[in-house]
Order: sequence, then structure tokens, then C-alpha cells
Amino acid sequence: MAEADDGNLPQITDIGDLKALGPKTEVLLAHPQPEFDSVGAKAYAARFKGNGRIDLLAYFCNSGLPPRSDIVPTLKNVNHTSFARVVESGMLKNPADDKNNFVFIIERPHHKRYVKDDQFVRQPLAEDFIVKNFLTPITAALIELEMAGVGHGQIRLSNMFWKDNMPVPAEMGECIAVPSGVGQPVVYETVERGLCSPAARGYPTILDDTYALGICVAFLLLGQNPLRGIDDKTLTRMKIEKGSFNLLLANQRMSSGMLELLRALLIDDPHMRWKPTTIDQWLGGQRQTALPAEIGRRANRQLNIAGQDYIQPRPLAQALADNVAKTVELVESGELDRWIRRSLMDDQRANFLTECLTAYQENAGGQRRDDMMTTYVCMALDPLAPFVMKGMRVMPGGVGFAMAEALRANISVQPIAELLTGKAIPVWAELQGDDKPHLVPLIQSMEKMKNMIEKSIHGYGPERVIYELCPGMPCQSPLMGGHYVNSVKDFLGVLESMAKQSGKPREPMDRHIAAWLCARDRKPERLFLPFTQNDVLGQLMTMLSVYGDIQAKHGPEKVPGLCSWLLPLMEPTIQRFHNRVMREELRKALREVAEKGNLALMSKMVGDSRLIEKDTREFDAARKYFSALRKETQVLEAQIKNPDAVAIKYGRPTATYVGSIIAAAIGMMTILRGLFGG
Amino acid sequence: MADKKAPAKGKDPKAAAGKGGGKQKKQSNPLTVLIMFGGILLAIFLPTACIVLPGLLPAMVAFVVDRDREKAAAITVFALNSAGVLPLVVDLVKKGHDFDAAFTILGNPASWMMMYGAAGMGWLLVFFIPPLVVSLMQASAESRIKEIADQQGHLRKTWGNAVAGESE
Repeated sequence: MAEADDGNLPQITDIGDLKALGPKTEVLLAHPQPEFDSVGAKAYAARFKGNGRIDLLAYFCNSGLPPRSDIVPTLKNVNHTSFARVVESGMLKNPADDKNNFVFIIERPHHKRYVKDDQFVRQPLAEDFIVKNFLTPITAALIELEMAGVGHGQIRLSNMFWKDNMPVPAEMGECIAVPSGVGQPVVYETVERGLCSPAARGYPTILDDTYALGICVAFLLLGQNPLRGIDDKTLTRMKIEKGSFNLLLANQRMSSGMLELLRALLIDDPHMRWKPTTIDQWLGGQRQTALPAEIGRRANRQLNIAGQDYIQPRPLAQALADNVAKTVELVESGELDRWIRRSLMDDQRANFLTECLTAYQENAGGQRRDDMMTTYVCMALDPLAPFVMKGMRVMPGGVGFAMAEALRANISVQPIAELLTGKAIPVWAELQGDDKPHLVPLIQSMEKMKNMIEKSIHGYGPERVIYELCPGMPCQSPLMGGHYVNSVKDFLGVLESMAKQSGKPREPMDRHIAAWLCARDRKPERLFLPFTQNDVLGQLMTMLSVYGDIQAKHGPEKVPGLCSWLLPLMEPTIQRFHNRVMREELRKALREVAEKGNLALMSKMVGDSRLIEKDTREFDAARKYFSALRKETQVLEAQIKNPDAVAIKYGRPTATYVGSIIAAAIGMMTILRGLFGG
Repeated sequence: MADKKAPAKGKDPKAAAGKGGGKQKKQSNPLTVLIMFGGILLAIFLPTACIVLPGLLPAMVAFVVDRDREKAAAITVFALNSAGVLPLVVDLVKKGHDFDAAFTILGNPASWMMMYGAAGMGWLLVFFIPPLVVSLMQASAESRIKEIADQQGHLRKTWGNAVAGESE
């Protein structure tokens, strides 16, 4: 085998193990392509079926975080040379761990990765070269993405495939393997997203992408990342205090046109940042005037928090988020309000603070909730920033992904749950001014999630919120054995394979499966009520009906393992029948059906209401008959015990009858003889 | 109209009860029937009465000594006693139904044996049939109890102990 890694297609003679993905493509499992590995995904060579050219890449997503599988159908229609077109997606067994992974196949980039990471130092590139071979093709690809309504979210130089010694267009790498923000260095993220933990950054907008594009262009001009080595928190604070453009490019020499472009891309106010179409107009020679970056109002007196002085509300909000006690002290003493009104002279922000504190008091219900107060105070000081709750920072659109990350890391989702159950999100929406109408769907979605997370029954709770907000989140039940299952079609097949393993739990159902089925298959939540009510019979009937329905709709045709798993649990349903013979017959019939693997039939057999009614009716009749027999026995026993009474009641009348008959006979004969005997 | 209806409404309830009560008495007392029957016979068929009255003496005694409310023993004795008397009455009628014939018949010891023997047969029935009936009925009851036990066993086998209202 010989593989070329200089951008040419690999020449593979020994194909090895091949696995088909979809009707058109196949993956070469024996040929990993580590140079194309992505954050949270391993790359393998792939090709179109019947095609000798290995011109595709298959990514096996195994990060444990939900891949952006929901954007795959959209990205299949995005066709641009600088964006690796998505060809196919589905589920395949990862050769590394033999687990089913979400796999997507994209067109193989034509070049090597531009830089391995973002700590690079290279020769600065000329403006013309960057504009022609980097900015122009990437902008065109971003326009396609904008038209498709998808943000890339992974634009960084280490995810670019390009050569800077030849006039070739740069190509963007994949953006599906992990939630947007995961693996993306903070330097490429806007201030707001940079404040969050990676998974909590939420869906990227096209303006987040143009910001990252501006950072890429700046790095290419400088030949390096001048901010490398600075920790994320400090870097974000520096961006807030100085502004991204000033931080990166202050005192740098470049053409006025380039200066104008970068100022427009790196501006920290997203409302003023250029979209790809505006960049395209700029590339076409249509010069625009970017407004100067507003660093924000500065107070004439600093506030000292934990040894650091603050004169701007945004950095102050972040400092207060980490100092709950100080926040409470500043609020309760009225110091914060005075500072905003007198030193910052920002009455609007002071009004925000008043509104937020009123909402906090309503939300806290008269109890002292310092963490919650901090959330509301930070929101008032910096309405664009992510929510702060007990040290966690979450963008409104990142709630689901943050919960998914918490679940993966096995940490409490309580702070995020409190965020949903409180009134912080509607209050935050009120502070967004002109953006408020665009936030209506988000607010409605969060309201729905609030209702779901507040209910603790199966099918609701944090699990349901994760599955609703993260369309790519596979079922996290341990019963899935680490396999990627995010389609009802795949569900029973995986459960069947788990049924054959030892050490499995008593029943093939848990909170995750219930929530996942409600989210993905729209199963009614009331079906899962028996699991909360500890109704063993109801639980079994739910499992049978739900799984039977899935088998009938999506297959597989036979699930004998799952049926055998359920068989011992069926005893309560068999016990519903009073008739022992029927029970035995039912047991035997169920064993036979279980061997055939037909869940729907099993469900039908034990749930046959007419049969149950008939059994009940016959049982009632049998009970009445038994009672009548018992009474009859009592009468007969009394008869045996008391012969005198029997003699009086039956013996004497019998003697009378016998005597009367004899007398009548004699009398009749006598009369006849007298009349006719002579 | 109201005046006409009023007397109907105002009928003496005691009188009504008395009427009903009289009827019940007549029907329920066989001794009265027997006396009335004897009285009629005595009045109309005096020669016959000469035979019947002494002939039915055992039955009369039986009615007196039988303490049973239903008078089953007395009725049995009476039935057979009557069967013993009837051939003599027929014989009397054949012989002209006069006092001579009656006394001739009464003078024959076989006539007394027939009448009182028949009454004795009645008493024999009274003494022997009830124990026989008891034995038969007890045997039948025991057999039925076994049959019921089998049926109950079958029901328990089919439906479990719940069919008997017991816990499983």
C-alpha cells in the first residue's frame, strides 16, 4: 500500500475491509487518514462505489458529544469548491472500538491542512495573495452557507486545507463532528461565545463565522497568532477591554482597504459586523465604511473586585460572575446602582439593573438566592454575554449542548436546569432591544423546555431537554452500549444486540430511552407514566406496545433476544388471567412467539382485552358456582349429622305417600271387585 | 257517590280477618275433616257406620297419639286402616246394607284382623320407612359430597384458590 499525503489522492492497492454507507459510497476501514482527523472524529479513506479514485473522506464521530447531524441534509446541497460537500451520512461500526458511530462522508480536500494548530509562526502573506486565494473563495463558500441558513462554526486556520506557495483556493474543513464551539480556540470566537465553555456556545451565526474569518485573515497577514500563550479568560477580557481589532491589529501597517475590512470583521458589536455578502461587495471594489469599534462606556471611578479595578460594565459583569458574595454586597449596599448612575452615567443600564433585580425577587420567591441574584445582575450589566449560573456560562442557544456536555462529564445539570426553570431567559429577551422579535422562537422553545424539565416523570426531565435541543444527540442510555443511536430505525437493532449480552439490567427501558423516544419518535409521554407510578404491569405493556410499534414500523423483522429479555417480565400479565389452563397455554404460546422474535404479536397476545374480559366473566361464573357447591355441601353435611330431622322431614311423608298409594291400590281393587267381581 | 263508597271503605277489618281465619282453620285441621266425614257416614249409612267406626278406631287413636303437626303417621295409619275397612263395607253393601249383615261381619274375627291388621301395617310403614329413607338419603348425600368435592377440586385446578375466595 502506498498513500500520498501531499494533497494528491491516495494510491491504494490493498483495499482491505470495505463497508458501504448508503447506496453510493463505501468506506475503506483499513485506511485511516490521520492527517485529516478532526476534533472529535477520526478520518478514513472512502470512495464512490465502483470508482477507483479514493476521493472521499469518512469521519467517524466518537467524541461523546452530539454531532451536528441535523445540518447534514442542508449541507448536502451546499456546493462550493472551498467547502467540502457532504456526500452521505449514516451509522457504521467504528473499527477502533466496534461501536456504532455516526459517520459522514465529505469530498476529500485537495490540499494538506494549512497549519496543525494555532500556535504557528510562518512567513506573513501578501494582502493580494490572501484576498485572491483565501478571502475570495472562503467568502463565496460562506455566502452559500448563509443562503442555506447554516453557520460553519469551525473556521480557523487549523481547519483550512490550503497551500500558501501556490495560487490555489483555500478549502474549509468539516463542521459536523462536534457541536459548534467545541475544539474552536477562543481567539477565533467572538467575545460572547469566548466567555462560554466550548459546548455551551450554541449554534453559530454567519456573523460568528465572519469574525473567525477576520481573525484568520489577520493571522495570515501577521504570519502568526500574536495572542498565543494567553489563557482564554485573560484573552476574552483583553478583547472586551480593548476591542478585538485593537487587540490584534493596533499599530499594524496595512492598506487602508484591508484595514477597513478587518475593522468591519473584528468589530465586537455583532450588529455592525459585515456579513459575507458585504465582504463580497468589498471584494468587488465597493468600499464601505465600517463604523469604529465602540469599546463601551467607561466609568470615571473604578470598582475594585478581587484586587482588580474595573471601569467598564462588561468586564465588571464577568468579574462579578466569579464573586457572588461581592455582587450581593454591592447590590444590597446600593453601591452598584450608584456606580452605574453616577460614575458610568448610564441610566439605561441602571434601569436594566432595577428590572433584573425585580425579576430576581419574583423568581426567588422571597428566599435568598445569591447565585440567582448574580445571574440577574450580570445580565443587566452585559445583556449580550452568556448566562451565568453557579460558575457556568451558557449562551441561550447552547443550553442543550451545555447539558449534553455536563451529562458526558458526569457533572450536575442543576445550574442549567435552574436557568430554564427561572425567569432569566424571558428577562434576558426583554433586554435585547431590537433583536427581541428574532428571539421569539428561542423564547418559545425555552418555555417548552421549562415545562419539560420541571416534570420528573419518564419522558420528561433534563434528558428530554437534551434530546429536544440537540437533534444530533444519540440515546444516552447505558442500554445502547455506547453505540450511536439517533434514529428509531436503528434503535431496536442495537437493543437486540445488547439483549444477547450478560449483565444487562432487568428491563430494557430507562429514563433516557423514554425521553429519547418522546423526542425522536414523538411517543406520547403518558405512555411512560407506569414507570413513575411503579405499575409493573403497565410498565410491561408500555414496553411491549412501544417496541412492538417500532418493530412494525421500522423493523427489524425478528428480535428474539429482546423478546426473551421481556419474557420473564411478562409473568404479571399472564397472572392477570384467572384460568390456569389459559395461563399455561399463554406461557407456551409466548415462548414460541418470543423465539420467532415478534414483539407486536406478543403485545397483542397479552393485551387482548376481549380474552381478558372473557376470562373475567368465566371466573365470576366459576366463583358463583363454587359458592353454590359449598352451600350444597353444607346442607348435605347437616343432613348427615342430623338423621332425626331427615326422618321427620322426608321419612314420615314418604311413609305417608307409600301408605296412601297402597291404600289407594287396595281400595281401587276392592271397589272394582265389588262392582265386577260378582 | 262519596257516601256510597264510604261504607265499603269502612268495612270492619276484624270481620274480614275472621272470615279468612275461619277458612284457614277448616283447611288446616285433618281431624275436623275426619270427624265431619265420620258424621256424614254415621248419619247416612248407619250400618256402614257400625263397621267403619269401630274399624277405624286405630286411625282415630293414631290421630290422638301423633304429636307431629303434619300428622304424617296418623295419615299413614288412617290410609291403610281405611284400605282394611273398605272391603268389609263393600261386603256389607253386597249383603243388603242392613244391621244384620253389619253385625254378621263384625262377628267374624277375620273382619277385625283385616281392619286392625291393615292399621298395624300402617304403623309398620311409619316405623320402618323413615329410617330406610334416612339411610338412603345419607348414602346419596355422601356420594353427592364426594362429587361436589371433585368438582370443586377441578374448579380450583382451573381457576386457583381465588375461585373459593381464598388467597393464592
